[in-house]
Amino acid sequence: MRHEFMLPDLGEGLAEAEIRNWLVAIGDTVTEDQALVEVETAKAVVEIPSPVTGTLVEVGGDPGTVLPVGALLAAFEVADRADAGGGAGSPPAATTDAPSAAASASEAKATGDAARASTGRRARRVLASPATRKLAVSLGVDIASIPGTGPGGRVTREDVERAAQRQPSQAVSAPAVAAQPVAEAVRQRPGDEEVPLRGIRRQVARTMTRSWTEIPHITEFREVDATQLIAAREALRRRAGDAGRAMTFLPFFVLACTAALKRHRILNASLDIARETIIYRGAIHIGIATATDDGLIVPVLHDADRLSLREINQRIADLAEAARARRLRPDQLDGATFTISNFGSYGTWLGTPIINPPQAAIAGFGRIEDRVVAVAGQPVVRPTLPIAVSADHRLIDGHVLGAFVNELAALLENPIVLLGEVR
Amino acid sequence: MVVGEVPESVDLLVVGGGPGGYVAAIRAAQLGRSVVLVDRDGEAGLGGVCLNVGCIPSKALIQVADAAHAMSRLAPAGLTAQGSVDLSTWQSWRRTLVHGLNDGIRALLRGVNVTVQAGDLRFTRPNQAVVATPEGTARYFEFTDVVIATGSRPAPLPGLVPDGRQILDSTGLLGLTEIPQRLVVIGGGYIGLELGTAFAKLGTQVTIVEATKHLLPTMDAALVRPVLARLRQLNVTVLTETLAEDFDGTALRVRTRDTVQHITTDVVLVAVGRVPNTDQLGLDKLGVTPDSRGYLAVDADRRITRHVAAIGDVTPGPALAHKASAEALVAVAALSGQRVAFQPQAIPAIVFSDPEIASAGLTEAQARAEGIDPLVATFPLAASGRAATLGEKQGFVQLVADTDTQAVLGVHMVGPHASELIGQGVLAIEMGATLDDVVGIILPHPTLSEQVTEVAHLAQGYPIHVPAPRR
Repeated sequence: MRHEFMLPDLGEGLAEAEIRNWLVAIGDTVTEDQALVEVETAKAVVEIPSPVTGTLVEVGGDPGTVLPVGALLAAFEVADRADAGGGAGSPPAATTDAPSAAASASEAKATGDAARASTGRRARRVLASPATRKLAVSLGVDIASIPGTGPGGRVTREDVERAAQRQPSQAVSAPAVAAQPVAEAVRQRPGDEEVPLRGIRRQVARTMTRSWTEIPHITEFREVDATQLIAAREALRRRAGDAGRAMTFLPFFVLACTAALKRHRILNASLDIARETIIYRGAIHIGIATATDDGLIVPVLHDADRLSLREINQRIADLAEAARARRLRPDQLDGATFTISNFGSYGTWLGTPIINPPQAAIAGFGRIEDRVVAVAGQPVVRPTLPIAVSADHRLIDGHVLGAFVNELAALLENPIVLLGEVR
Repeated sequence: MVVGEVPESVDLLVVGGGPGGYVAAIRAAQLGRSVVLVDRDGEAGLGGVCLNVGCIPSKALIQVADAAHAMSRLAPAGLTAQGSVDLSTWQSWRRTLVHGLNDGIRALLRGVNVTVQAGDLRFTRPNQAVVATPEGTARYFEFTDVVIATGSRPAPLPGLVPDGRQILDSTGLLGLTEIPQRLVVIGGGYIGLELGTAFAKLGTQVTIVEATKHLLPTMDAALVRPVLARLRQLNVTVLTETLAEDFDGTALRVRTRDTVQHITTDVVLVAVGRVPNTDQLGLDKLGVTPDSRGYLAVDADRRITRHVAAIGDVTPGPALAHKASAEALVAVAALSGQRVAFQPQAIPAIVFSDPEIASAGLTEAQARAEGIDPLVATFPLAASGRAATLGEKQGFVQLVADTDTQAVLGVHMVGPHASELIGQGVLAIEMGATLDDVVGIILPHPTLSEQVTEVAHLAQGYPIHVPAPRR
């Protein structure tokens, strides 16, 4: 029998994915969990495993095709009833629960997604009121891609608004440039090369547009005496020997940030302006801005405040490696509450980091260089670490940001104090 | 260079004053646009075919024919009066009625400062058009945006060209001042059926000739069955799979697969569909091209290009006034910079047959074709108390829902006032109402509208006024 596999939800806010590379061909026999296809989402390149054992008979598109979540990704011919009870995949259930005609509305909702997935065409008929559908069009959201939370899977106004927030640049531009909905075309000249904006690059473009147009940034700069920081790192390096990965400065930055964020919770928060609500985050998940060949991605160090320096060091190394190998799981990209940009690692002295919405702040760390500074009225040479912290000025006043940066600087100038922060 | 060729600047030009065009003009003016509306007949043409020679006059005729006929239907209830209609008196009533509505539209357009220009319009450039006015002058317009809403005209039938005396189109038939003794209607679509039924009730011997297998070929056969029964009572002859060929002044020659027949008649109505008015506009100068059948393909927001929109009968889809009006609102919003789309879940279709037929949303077969497992319930009119007091028994309301989501997908009905009742179905479908929603509302008793909640109860398996289906 035929088994249809719909593009699964790959993580919060991902409504679509682009097919990068088929790892199997039509006619191939695949086993359950065998890698099937590489897709690029707005956040990463992800490998999707086969949900069943069978023969691949249809694919949802060639490389380059952008599929919405819920669209047909692949179809298999599988042996009848081979895996009737054991398989965890939900689609087979859709064929067996059809006879329960008297299902209540709530049951219908529970099975709604599976039913939608079992018949790819269903996505076209959207349950939503005319006003909701109109709102979706005006916000540039494809309502067919939104999972409805209302009775029978009805898409509500709130569902559309939430989806629009995840699709930031379009949502923002809709009311602002209503009179000229299309951005002015860029004139091309002979010899120019045109490359479609896709995947990570497109998501970065949208996110940065949203951040820059929505969030009034305030940035504070500080120069930190890195003498003791360097000494501390050297000590840990020597001690680590060949057992672990060489200690870098980044774990110190992470630890200092988590400590400072605990004292200044407003920097570990989000502003939901639509609901006029401030959300203080219950955990500290630090996003680490990481350059890859595909573009900037931000893997997340979850519960960073519960890790030792050495654990932080190892996890960052693992995440960076997975990122460059395009093997990050969606959950490893999700949920950051604060971001660190270590631009010093590629030689930059100092920059102004841009906030990754819906976070409230971001810290940037520059390159440590010897500087002549005044100490007790005398010019002396000290290794100096420049830091810059940008914050959402709607939430965070200058003196609050100043206090945060003071804390950060104090912890980094005197890393022994960080010991008191380690759990 | 002739002075007259200096074009006048127009912000938004609307071509056609029908239910698409005049609605577009009003909405555009409401959005702050400066609007010129060009209609072949000027202000007299406002309301288009629908108001002047279509839906409204035909309903005015059906109304009196029905009232006359209803007397005989209520004879068992003790009504002894006999109804007869004087068609020339009806004509002046109809004229007053149509003029009143036409005046209303004029006033609405004047109220929002829309300029109405009479004459035939041809595009001369991508942003220019010339109008040949009834005074014999030419008026040139240079426009920013344009809405094409020129509607449609009756499709011609070779060999049976309307002559205004015996071979008539619907306009001609509605212009009669005497009731003909015999009428042959060519075309069993809704126009032919509505007018044929009305004249049958006025006393005319009516024959309907339809080329396909069924009357109302676009409607579900079950919906048409009560109508066929009523046509038999009215002594209307229905010839299906029959082609009309020629009229010699006294008899119409028709051909079935293997017979030829001559039907003696006084008047022939040709009502075999409509064709879009896109061939005389100089659309090539505008830079748009109709498809092979003359329709203009449009985007979801009803635009063809950034500054050109088309609505109503010139676009694909059913040629219905309410579709044109709804599209007008979308098209004008799009031309005014809003992000919009024409995205109905249901465009209702109604037939003022006897009894009336109305349909909105998916039929059972369409639902299956979309991959939906349909839940279908049919509530008979005979179980309605109010219908009984109207002397009506033939008819039903059918509801099609999605078994999985319980959402109402389609409502189809045949029976008295179906054209009004379908509005409830449209509301349910468009709002994404589930069966629980429909049974959760209270409708007044005794009315025909109760059929809508009854059929939803039935769909859930717990009907009140009919036996529960076996499980």
